[in-house]
Amino acid sequence: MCLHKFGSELYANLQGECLLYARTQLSEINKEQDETENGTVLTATRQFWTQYTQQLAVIRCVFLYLDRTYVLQTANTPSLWAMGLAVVRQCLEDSGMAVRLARLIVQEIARERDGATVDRAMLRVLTQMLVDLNLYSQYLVPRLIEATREHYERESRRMVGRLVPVQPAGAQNQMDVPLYLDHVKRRLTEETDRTAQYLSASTKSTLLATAVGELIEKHTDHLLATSFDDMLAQDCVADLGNLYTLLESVARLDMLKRHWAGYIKRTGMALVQQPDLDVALVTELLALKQRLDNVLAQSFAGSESLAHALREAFEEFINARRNRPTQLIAKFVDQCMRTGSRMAPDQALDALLDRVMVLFRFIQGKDMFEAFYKRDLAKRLLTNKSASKDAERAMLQRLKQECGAGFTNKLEGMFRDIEASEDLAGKFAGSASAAGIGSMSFHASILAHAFWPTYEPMDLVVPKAAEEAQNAFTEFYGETHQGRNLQWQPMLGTCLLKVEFDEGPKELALSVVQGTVLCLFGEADELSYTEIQQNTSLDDATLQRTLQSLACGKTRVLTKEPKGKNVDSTDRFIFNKAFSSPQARIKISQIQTKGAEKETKDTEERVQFDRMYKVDAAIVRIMKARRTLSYTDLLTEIMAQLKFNASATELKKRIDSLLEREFLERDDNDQSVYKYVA
Amino acid sequence: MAQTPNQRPFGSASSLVSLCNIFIMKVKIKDWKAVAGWRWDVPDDDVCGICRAPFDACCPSCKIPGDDCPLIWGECTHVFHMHCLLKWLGTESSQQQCPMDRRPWVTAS
Repeated sequence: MCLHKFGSELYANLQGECLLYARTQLSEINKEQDETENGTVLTATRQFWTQYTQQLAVIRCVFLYLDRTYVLQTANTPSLWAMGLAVVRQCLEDSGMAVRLARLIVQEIARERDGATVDRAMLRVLTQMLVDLNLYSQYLVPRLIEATREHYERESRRMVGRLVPVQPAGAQNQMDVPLYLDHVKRRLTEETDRTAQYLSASTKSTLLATAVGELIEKHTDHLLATSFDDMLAQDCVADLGNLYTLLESVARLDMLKRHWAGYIKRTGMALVQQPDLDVALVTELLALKQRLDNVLAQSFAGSESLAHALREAFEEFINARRNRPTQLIAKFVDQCMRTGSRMAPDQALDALLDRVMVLFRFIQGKDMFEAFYKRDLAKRLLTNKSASKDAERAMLQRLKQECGAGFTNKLEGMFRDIEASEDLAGKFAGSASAAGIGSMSFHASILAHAFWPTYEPMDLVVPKAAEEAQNAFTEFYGETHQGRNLQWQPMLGTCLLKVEFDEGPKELALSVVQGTVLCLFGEADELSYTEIQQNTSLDDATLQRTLQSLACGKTRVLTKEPKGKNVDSTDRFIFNKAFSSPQARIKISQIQTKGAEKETKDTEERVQFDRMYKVDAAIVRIMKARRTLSYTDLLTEIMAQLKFNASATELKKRIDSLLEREFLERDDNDQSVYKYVA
Repeated sequence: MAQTPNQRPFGSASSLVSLCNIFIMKVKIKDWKAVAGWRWDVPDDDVCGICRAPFDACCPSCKIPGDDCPLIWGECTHVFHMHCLLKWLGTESSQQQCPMDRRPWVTAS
């Protein structure tokens, strides 16, 4: 027939037949009103479609010649297969059945979401049909998305409204946020599964986005505000991981970051602002840091921006209480480095100090740390309390890496001084000058002023034997180091005394001041306060403290008359012959409290003083380079140069002082502009 | 602290002391660890004639005073930071003289 040019007619006839068949079949199905479960409409449609496609395939085979010649050669004539599909498509659209089918499919999906079992195979055939007929994206997708949106909107509203505060794991009987997140995760898996099973893959991203949008995005604020802190506090690593992934998928990480930073700041601030927590503050901070690092790595995939927020938050709260945390960190390191510290076993010490360095990095006033660290280091070195030289050096190396060689220069100088003093002590012991000092062993640490903390000189008349030794040493030192004067620092020295009690000889480890006072009792059994003071020329505060440690402390080698806790200038002191102790060597510690407080204050003041010079230097440096500068510009420049926080008022004072000293002058025309005076 | 060994104000207790000394020494020093700081033996607040910085501080080319930036004494009794003086002696115009009194520089031993 094709050869005789009937191709066109034949094609038209075929088309007509198909249309007629499809229309009758479909309208038959469409009459069915039963739309309930396992609706016959859907089943029938499926049946029709399977049959129809089979028949269409047969037709194509029979009319193969037509398909290959006439159809191919004529423009605007779709192949037989395409024509067959187009016919059905037209029928479905014309009769409104496309809409109905889409509605019914969505209804089935809704039933499945509510937990019913549906015929997934049937749904797969039907959606595939819609895809083949090009009806899928036009009819099904918008309805499906809309239905999904509504479904999850309802569901999330219902669930979120009933969320309870975070409960400890295992005790959950009501839905809290972690459970809700689990639920959401399950829902999303279901939806993914659905697209894989019977929806077109192209729908997946839109569908998931709609679901997660309703379940999470719209409630982000609420979820985070109510439970994020608790989840962090309870260390729900897995749940936080869920939260992170979900929020990442809706691009709400900025909110997570905000709450994250907020939590860290609040928690940290609470720790830092509690004065009674001071002792444990560093340990607490380290624990907090470790916990948060863990969450960051495990739950938040080590996110760069969250890590940054963590650092910023730490920096903010750690510097909130001025210098106190700085001092505590320095002190913590000191405790770690001391002999007999129970902070950490040797092998863990390195790791612990590494973690402390992380806190150190957050501190703004590094000079304050240096001052306190230096003071403690000095004490460790002079009293030989340092647990390990290697650990000390490793710590120094860390500081050097962090702040540069300038920062540790002086600290290194201190080590050098101590080593040089050891050498010197060895040489002195073998020298002729040492011959005169008898059986007592003598050791002097010689310090260069620039490296060490400044110590206030103290008047003390040391025992004769010690004094002779000191003089001998001075002479010896003068021979090898010309042009230098030695100034003895009694408050830093220590001594070991052998004291005869009734029970037998005891060795007492004392400070030089304590030792000097006790030596007086080698020649007398009873002395009055005034006598002691005359013979030692100590000031009242020091003497009272010293006597208190000897007569009122735990180890009472002296007895006081009249008895009592405090030392008065009218008291008398008697050598306590009856003193007994199971130990052969006893250490009597000095009474620290007042001294330590004062020391802390002094150190702080000294740092402030140093800062003043640094500010002056910075101002002069800037003004020398810029010649004229307005007040505000000058302030910004100074702030940029200084490594510590200085308030504008403090800076203003320094500028005023420089004006007074005529380093600067005000501009004649504009009072807010300064000029450098060469 | 300057110590004057022979002026110890033992006063009233001394007679008692001598009596007690007949018996064994109750308290004996076994070990004495003293600490001292050193300073250059120059008057306080004195400055180097070349760089005008205090002797307690270092010369302009050093950062830290102490062992690394020593002083040097001339036979003419003038003192300078060693670095300052060496730099001066290294210049042509110095003619190896002390910058203070123009006498030939001889380092005191």
